[in-house]
Amino acid sequence: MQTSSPRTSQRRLFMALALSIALTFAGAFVIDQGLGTENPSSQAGDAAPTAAGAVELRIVDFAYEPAMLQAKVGQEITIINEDNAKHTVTSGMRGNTDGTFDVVVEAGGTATFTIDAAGSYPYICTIHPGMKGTIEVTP
Amino acid sequence: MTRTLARHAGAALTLVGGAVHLQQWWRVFRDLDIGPLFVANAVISIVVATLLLGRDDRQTPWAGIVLAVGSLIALLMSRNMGLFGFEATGLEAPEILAIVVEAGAAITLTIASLAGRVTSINAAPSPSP
Repeated sequence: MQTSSPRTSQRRLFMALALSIALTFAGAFVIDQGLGTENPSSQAGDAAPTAAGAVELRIVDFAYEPAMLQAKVGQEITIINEDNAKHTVTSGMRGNTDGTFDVVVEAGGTATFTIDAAGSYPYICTIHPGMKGTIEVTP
Repeated sequence: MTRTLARHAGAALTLVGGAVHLQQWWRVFRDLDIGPLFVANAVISIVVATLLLGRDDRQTPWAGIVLAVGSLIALLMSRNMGLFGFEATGLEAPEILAIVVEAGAAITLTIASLAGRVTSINAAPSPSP
Protein backbone atom coordinates (compact mmCIF):
# COMPACT_ATOMS: atom_id res chain seq x y z
CA MET A 1 0.00 0.00 0.00
CA GLN A 2 1.34 3.34 -1.00
CA THR A 3 1.57 5.93 1.78
CA SER A 4 1.49 9.61 0.99
CA SER A 5 3.98 12.03 2.46
CA PRO A 6 2.83 14.57 5.07
CA ARG A 7 3.22 17.34 2.49
CA THR A 8 1.00 15.49 0.00
CA SER A 9 -1.59 14.85 2.69
CA GLN A 10 -1.60 18.52 3.66
CA ARG A 11 -2.01 19.59 0.07
CA ARG A 12 -4.88 17.12 -0.39
CA LEU A 13 -6.60 18.41 2.74
CA PHE A 14 -6.14 22.01 1.63
CA MET A 15 -7.63 21.23 -1.77
CA ALA A 16 -10.54 19.44 -0.12
CA LEU A 17 -11.13 22.41 2.19
CA ALA A 18 -11.08 24.90 -0.68
CA LEU A 19 -13.45 22.70 -2.67
CA SER A 20 -15.80 22.27 0.29
CA ILE A 21 -15.99 25.99 1.00
CA ALA A 22 -16.53 26.84 -2.66
CA LEU A 23 -19.24 24.19 -3.09
CA THR A 24 -21.04 25.23 0.09
CA PHE A 25 -21.26 28.89 -0.91
CA ALA A 26 -22.12 28.05 -4.51
CA GLY A 27 -24.77 25.61 -3.29
CA ALA A 28 -26.26 28.19 -0.94
CA PHE A 29 -26.49 30.65 -3.82
CA VAL A 30 -28.13 28.13 -6.14
CA ILE A 31 -30.60 27.08 -3.42
CA ASP A 32 -31.40 30.71 -2.71
CA GLN A 33 -32.17 31.33 -6.36
CA GLY A 34 -34.11 28.14 -6.81
CA LEU A 35 -35.80 27.38 -3.51
CA GLY A 36 -35.46 30.55 -1.48
CA THR A 37 -38.37 32.20 0.24
CA GLU A 38 -40.39 34.08 -2.32
CA ASN A 39 -40.86 37.77 -1.82
CA PRO A 40 -44.59 38.07 -1.30
CA SER A 41 -46.44 40.78 -3.13
CA SER A 42 -47.57 43.70 -1.07
CA GLN A 43 -51.14 44.80 -0.82
CA ALA A 44 -50.21 47.80 1.28
CA GLY A 45 -51.93 50.90 0.12
CA ASP A 46 -54.86 49.02 -1.41
CA ALA A 47 -56.95 49.40 1.71
CA ALA A 48 -60.50 50.64 1.51
CA PRO A 49 -61.45 53.90 3.23
CA THR A 50 -61.40 53.58 6.97
CA ALA A 51 -64.75 52.54 8.40
CA ALA A 52 -63.69 53.21 11.97
CA GLY A 53 -60.49 54.19 13.79
CA ALA A 54 -57.52 52.11 12.75
CA VAL A 55 -56.19 49.33 14.93
CA GLU A 56 -52.47 48.79 15.28
CA LEU A 57 -50.53 45.58 14.87
CA ARG A 58 -46.96 46.04 16.06
CA ILE A 59 -44.01 43.86 15.20
CA VAL A 60 -41.41 43.90 17.95
CA ASP A 61 -38.47 41.50 18.34
CA PHE A 62 -39.83 39.12 15.71
CA ALA A 63 -43.25 38.82 17.34
CA TYR A 64 -46.67 40.29 16.60
CA GLU A 65 -48.23 42.43 19.32
CA PRO A 66 -50.96 41.67 20.08
CA ALA A 67 -50.81 38.12 18.86
CA MET A 68 -54.63 38.12 18.89
CA LEU A 69 -55.89 41.32 17.25
CA GLN A 70 -59.55 42.38 17.25
CA ALA A 71 -60.85 44.40 14.29
CA LYS A 72 -64.14 45.27 12.59
CA VAL A 73 -65.01 44.46 8.99
CA GLY A 74 -63.48 47.16 6.78
CA GLN A 75 -61.55 48.68 9.66
CA GLU A 76 -58.06 49.82 8.77
CA ILE A 77 -55.33 47.68 10.30
CA THR A 78 -52.01 49.49 10.55
CA ILE A 79 -48.90 47.35 10.82
CA ILE A 80 -45.95 49.04 12.49
CA ASN A 81 -42.68 47.17 12.04
CA GLU A 82 -40.27 48.18 14.80
CA ASP A 83 -37.69 45.55 13.85
CA ASN A 84 -34.60 45.99 11.72
CA ALA A 85 -35.84 43.26 9.38
CA LYS A 86 -38.53 43.02 6.75
CA HIS A 87 -41.64 41.07 7.73
CA THR A 88 -44.89 39.99 6.17
CA VAL A 89 -48.41 39.60 7.51
CA THR A 90 -49.74 36.77 5.38
CA SER A 91 -53.06 35.01 5.96
CA GLY A 92 -53.05 31.27 6.42
CA MET A 93 -50.66 28.77 7.88
CA ARG A 94 -47.05 28.13 6.99
CA GLY A 95 -46.99 26.11 3.80
CA ASN A 96 -50.70 26.80 3.26
CA THR A 97 -51.27 30.52 2.81
CA ASP A 98 -54.77 31.39 1.57
CA GLY A 99 -54.28 34.73 -0.19
CA THR A 100 -56.84 36.70 1.83
CA PHE A 101 -54.16 39.23 2.71
CA ASP A 102 -50.42 39.36 2.15
CA VAL A 103 -48.72 42.54 3.33
CA VAL A 104 -44.98 43.24 3.30
CA VAL A 105 -43.63 45.69 5.86
CA GLU A 106 -40.11 46.95 5.38
CA ALA A 107 -37.76 47.32 8.37
CA GLY A 108 -38.93 50.28 10.43
CA GLY A 109 -41.86 50.80 8.08
CA THR A 110 -45.64 50.78 8.27
CA ALA A 111 -48.38 49.39 6.05
CA THR A 112 -52.16 49.28 6.18
CA PHE A 113 -54.81 46.89 4.97
CA THR A 114 -58.42 45.93 5.62
CA ILE A 115 -60.37 42.71 5.82
CA ASP A 116 -63.80 42.70 4.22
CA ALA A 117 -65.42 39.67 5.83
CA ALA A 118 -65.94 38.63 9.42
CA GLY A 119 -64.04 35.63 10.70
CA SER A 120 -60.92 34.40 12.38
CA TYR A 121 -57.78 34.85 10.29
CA PRO A 122 -54.57 33.12 11.34
CA TYR A 123 -51.52 34.68 9.77
CA ILE A 124 -47.78 34.21 9.59
CA CYS A 125 -44.61 35.94 8.49
CA THR A 126 -43.45 34.06 5.40
CA ILE A 127 -39.88 35.23 5.98
CA HIS A 128 -39.53 34.26 9.65
CA PRO A 129 -41.21 30.93 10.39
CA GLY A 130 -41.61 31.44 14.14
CA MET A 131 -43.90 34.45 13.76
CA LYS A 132 -47.65 33.89 13.81
CA GLY A 133 -50.83 35.47 15.10
CA THR A 134 -54.56 35.74 14.58
CA ILE A 135 -56.91 38.57 13.60
CA GLU A 136 -60.48 38.26 14.81
CA VAL A 137 -62.77 40.28 12.53
CA THR A 138 -66.31 41.01 13.71
CA PRO A 139 -69.22 42.66 11.80
CA MET B 1 -13.95 1.22 -4.03
CA THR B 2 -17.39 1.13 -2.39
CA ARG B 3 -16.01 2.89 0.66
CA THR B 4 -14.39 5.66 -1.37
CA LEU B 5 -17.52 6.16 -3.44
CA ALA B 6 -19.68 6.25 -0.32
CA ARG B 7 -17.31 8.71 1.40
CA HIS B 8 -17.38 11.05 -1.58
CA ALA B 9 -21.16 10.79 -1.95
CA GLY B 10 -21.51 11.40 1.79
CA ALA B 11 -19.22 14.43 1.51
CA ALA B 12 -21.30 15.85 -1.34
CA LEU B 13 -24.57 15.34 0.55
CA THR B 14 -23.06 16.83 3.71
CA LEU B 15 -22.01 19.90 1.72
CA VAL B 16 -25.51 20.30 0.29
CA GLY B 17 -26.89 20.12 3.83
CA GLY B 18 -24.42 22.79 4.92
CA ALA B 19 -25.38 24.93 1.92
CA VAL B 20 -29.07 24.70 2.84
CA HIS B 21 -28.26 25.81 6.39
CA LEU B 22 -26.11 28.69 5.11
CA GLN B 23 -28.88 29.84 2.76
CA GLN B 24 -31.52 29.56 5.46
CA TRP B 25 -29.36 31.53 7.90
CA TRP B 26 -28.89 34.30 5.36
CA ARG B 27 -32.49 34.41 4.17
CA VAL B 28 -34.46 33.61 7.32
CA PHE B 29 -32.66 33.04 10.61
CA ARG B 30 -29.83 35.55 10.87
CA ASP B 31 -31.84 37.81 13.18
CA LEU B 32 -33.13 35.02 15.39
CA ASP B 33 -31.54 33.53 18.49
CA ILE B 34 -31.05 30.17 16.80
CA GLY B 35 -29.30 31.80 13.81
CA PRO B 36 -25.76 30.90 14.99
CA LEU B 37 -26.73 27.22 14.99
CA PHE B 38 -27.26 27.43 11.23
CA VAL B 39 -23.82 28.95 10.72
CA ALA B 40 -22.33 26.31 13.00
CA ASN B 41 -23.99 23.58 10.94
CA ALA B 42 -22.54 25.02 7.73
CA VAL B 43 -19.03 25.29 9.21
CA ILE B 44 -19.12 21.77 10.69
CA SER B 45 -20.40 20.45 7.35
CA ILE B 46 -17.41 22.01 5.57
CA VAL B 47 -14.99 20.50 8.12
CA VAL B 48 -16.57 17.04 7.91
CA ALA B 49 -16.70 17.10 4.09
CA THR B 50 -13.07 18.26 3.96
CA LEU B 51 -11.97 15.34 6.12
CA LEU B 52 -14.12 12.91 4.14
CA LEU B 53 -12.53 14.06 0.89
CA GLY B 54 -8.99 14.63 2.15
CA ARG B 55 -8.40 11.69 4.48
CA ASP B 56 -9.29 8.03 4.68
CA ASP B 57 -9.94 7.41 8.34
CA ARG B 58 -12.67 5.58 10.21
CA GLN B 59 -13.81 8.39 12.49
CA THR B 60 -14.94 11.03 10.01
CA PRO B 61 -17.88 9.04 8.53
CA TRP B 62 -19.22 8.67 12.06
CA ALA B 63 -18.85 12.41 12.62
CA GLY B 64 -20.84 12.95 9.42
CA ILE B 65 -23.54 10.52 10.58
CA VAL B 66 -23.81 12.34 13.93
CA LEU B 67 -24.07 15.68 12.13
CA ALA B 68 -26.76 14.45 9.71
CA VAL B 69 -28.85 12.70 12.35
CA GLY B 70 -28.43 15.62 14.77
CA SER B 71 -29.62 18.04 12.09
CA LEU B 72 -32.66 15.88 11.36
CA ILE B 73 -33.52 15.66 15.07
CA ALA B 74 -33.16 19.44 15.44
CA LEU B 75 -35.51 19.99 12.48
CA LEU B 76 -38.07 17.58 13.94
CA MET B 77 -37.80 19.29 17.34
CA SER B 78 -38.42 22.71 15.78
CA ARG B 79 -41.64 21.33 14.26
CA ASN B 80 -42.92 19.60 17.40
CA MET B 81 -41.64 20.75 20.77
CA GLY B 82 -39.60 23.79 19.84
CA LEU B 83 -35.85 24.35 19.69
CA PHE B 84 -34.32 27.04 21.91
CA GLY B 85 -37.60 28.94 21.87
CA PHE B 86 -38.10 28.59 18.13
CA GLU B 87 -41.07 26.68 16.77
CA ALA B 88 -42.34 26.48 13.20
CA THR B 89 -45.04 24.63 11.33
CA GLY B 90 -45.08 22.95 7.95
CA LEU B 91 -42.29 22.09 5.57
CA GLU B 92 -41.17 24.13 2.59
CA ALA B 93 -38.72 23.30 -0.18
CA PRO B 94 -35.48 24.09 1.75
CA GLU B 95 -36.55 21.95 4.72
CA ILE B 96 -37.55 19.07 2.44
CA LEU B 97 -34.21 19.31 0.62
CA ALA B 98 -32.39 19.29 3.98
CA ILE B 99 -34.27 16.18 5.11
CA VAL B 100 -33.47 14.34 1.86
CA VAL B 101 -29.75 15.17 1.80
CA GLU B 102 -29.21 14.59 5.53
CA ALA B 103 -30.95 11.22 5.38
CA GLY B 104 -28.88 10.42 2.28
CA ALA B 105 -25.67 11.49 4.02
CA ALA B 106 -26.47 9.31 7.04
CA ILE B 107 -27.12 6.29 4.80
CA THR B 108 -24.07 6.70 2.53
CA LEU B 109 -21.73 7.37 5.44
CA THR B 110 -23.06 4.32 7.26
CA ILE B 111 -22.23 2.34 4.12
CA ALA B 112 -18.75 3.93 4.09
CA SER B 113 -18.21 2.91 7.73
CA LEU B 114 -19.45 -0.62 7.22
CA ALA B 115 -17.49 -1.05 3.97
CA GLY B 116 -14.36 0.07 5.80
CA ARG B 117 -14.98 -2.48 8.53
CA VAL B 118 -15.55 -5.31 6.05
CA THR B 119 -12.40 -4.35 4.16
CA SER B 120 -10.43 -4.39 7.41
CA ILE B 121 -11.75 -7.82 8.38
CA ASN B 122 -10.98 -9.24 4.93
CA ALA B 123 -7.52 -7.70 4.95
CA ALA B 124 -6.60 -9.08 8.37
CA PRO B 125 -3.91 -11.77 8.10
CA SER B 126 -5.19 -15.25 8.69
CA PRO B 127 -3.67 -17.03 11.69
CA SER B 128 -0.78 -19.27 10.74
CA PRO B 129 -1.33 -22.97 11.31
